[in-house]
Amino acid sequence: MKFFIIIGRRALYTYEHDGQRFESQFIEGSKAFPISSTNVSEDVNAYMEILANEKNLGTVAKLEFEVLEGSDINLNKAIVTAFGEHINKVYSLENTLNTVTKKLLRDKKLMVDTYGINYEGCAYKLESNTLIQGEFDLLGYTIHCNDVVGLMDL
Amino acid sequence: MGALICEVCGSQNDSKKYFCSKCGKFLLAGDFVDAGISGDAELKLSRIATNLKENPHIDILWNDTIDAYTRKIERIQSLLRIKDLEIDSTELNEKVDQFLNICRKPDFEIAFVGAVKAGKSTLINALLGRNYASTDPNPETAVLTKFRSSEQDYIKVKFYSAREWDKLWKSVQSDAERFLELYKELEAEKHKSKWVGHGEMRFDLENSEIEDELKKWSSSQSAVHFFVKEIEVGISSLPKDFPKQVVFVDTPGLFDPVAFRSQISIDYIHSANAVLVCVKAEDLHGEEVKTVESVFSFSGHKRNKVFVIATNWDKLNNVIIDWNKRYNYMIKSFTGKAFFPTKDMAQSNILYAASYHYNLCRDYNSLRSSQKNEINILLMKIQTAIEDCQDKKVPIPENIIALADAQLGMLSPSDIKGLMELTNIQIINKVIVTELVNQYAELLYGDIKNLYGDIQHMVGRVAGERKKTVNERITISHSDMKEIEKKVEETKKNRDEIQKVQRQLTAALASLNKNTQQRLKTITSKLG
Repeated sequence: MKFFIIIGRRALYTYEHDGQRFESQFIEGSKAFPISSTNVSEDVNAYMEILANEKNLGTVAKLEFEVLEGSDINLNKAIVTAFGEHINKVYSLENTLNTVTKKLLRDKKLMVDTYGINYEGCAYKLESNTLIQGEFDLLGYTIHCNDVVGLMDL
Repeated sequence: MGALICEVCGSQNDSKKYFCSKCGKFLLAGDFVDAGISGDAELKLSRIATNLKENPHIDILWNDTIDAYTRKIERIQSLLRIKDLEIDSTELNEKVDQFLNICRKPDFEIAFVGAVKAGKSTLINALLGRNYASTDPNPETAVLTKFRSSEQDYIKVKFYSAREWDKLWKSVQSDAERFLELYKELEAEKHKSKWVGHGEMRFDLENSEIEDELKKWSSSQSAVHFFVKEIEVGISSLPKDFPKQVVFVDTPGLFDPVAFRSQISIDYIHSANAVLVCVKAEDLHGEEVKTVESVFSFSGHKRNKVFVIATNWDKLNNVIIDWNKRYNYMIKSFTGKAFFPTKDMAQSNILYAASYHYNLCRDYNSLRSSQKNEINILLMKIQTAIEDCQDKKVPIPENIIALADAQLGMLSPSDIKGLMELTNIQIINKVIVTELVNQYAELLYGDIKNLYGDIQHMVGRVAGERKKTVNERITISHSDMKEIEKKVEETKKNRDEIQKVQRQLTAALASLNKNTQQRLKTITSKLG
């Protein structure tokens, strides 16, 4: 069974494609499954067990994931390693936000060209086709995981 | 200032609001002449209001009230970053940064200072509960090392920048032969270009790997140590009662022949929340006194933050009688203008320690026979001292008399416990680590509240100044407008004048033309 995961600052966000769009999944009643940076492996294993249980799969062996990285390189690496063979594909955050930003630039009212976007606590702005990361900008256009999933080229 | 009435739904809103609390419409649209500018302002204000709710926050785990304060200041920090607001206040930005740094890292730094081989590292190991810092016979701690509690075991290594290295090299004094010999012996010059200016390195480790990794970077027998400015060790397995915000700072020798390095120690003495000066109990002479004197002078007016720890208490001939004499001598020597201001403070801030034996007792079950023998030797010394005191009718402390019947070579768990108590490490832990830290937490809370008040006041002032600047600009633009209008009027008037004159000239020309035509006609008819 295939899922799409977004690595947040301290949590995993799970999506499943229903044939038309990606639907956010609730794990133990919440959209966000917390991940501790000091306990990644155990948390990821627990996540897979719970997900397999909630989907009545009987075993985690049937789980497959595509993953969108977060802004913490170390956490990304630890999570991807913990998932191991269950991962089919990893999407880089930079490329993804680059695509998302370009799509949002089409609507001038969003002022993304001037103030960039905010995602997971950081600001990102396209300058000469390069995505520059900075501090959260109060004038930036803030997007969330659901927005990213809707705008990604998956 | 009166309430703002919403133009759309008519409800009353506080004068400080930008958006109607009932229908959400922009309340200030009427202030703008240009609808485009009004729309722009509305969009920006709306976005700021939404984003403020999502402003990133770093949780402050040690106090909920401070956590709430921090959230507000983080929002102010984000507002100050908005370029469109054109707020340029270095002072306010610095205050905000200072506030957030203190809240996020309320470190209570305890600097361990003393001459070389005074027992600083052994004492730190005793307080940490395990032998992390190296205590090899050769002078080992040549690098400033910090120990702190952490969720993950790690070591962070910082290196001298090129500028710092240059200053260090120039500060090598004439009595630094050993430093220069070692530098040459270890061929350190070959490694210089690799490490000087190197970025900070962090190694996440298993707890058992800390000691070896630390030695690699800090040992005086390793070439790289010359270029290491500071090491930080994060330990996940500290005793449960070890306060999270305490940082032990193990400093290199205070009278390091490399003046730049000893200046680093001096700077820490100045800024640390507490300073433990280690002096050898059995060897209190000129240099030890000079060390204590220096520490007091570097501590400024905060004399109460200095603690004098007489290490190697176990090396005294008679641990009871000799310690009493030494203790009284230290109180007398270290009370006065350049030291503790009162005898009471000296009495409470002078402590002895037998760190080495504390560590042995702590690890008793894993000791070799030769190490267990060292504990027996101490016990023998204690029992001899007890007999000596009984002969001389000198009072014996209860915790010492309890060991009178302990069997050499057959120590019970309560004997081990008794010996551990006698080493005084638990008292040092209680006084410095627990009591001082609790006092510090209260003082810190007060400091944070004051800083918060300062920031609020400064924000009010900066906002007032900004508003004044904006109003001045509006006034200037209004008066500019008036000037322009006046000029336009004048130009218009001039133009009307010109047009009038033009009409007059045209009429005059027409009249002249008509007269000329008539005269020509008259002359022509007379000729004809």
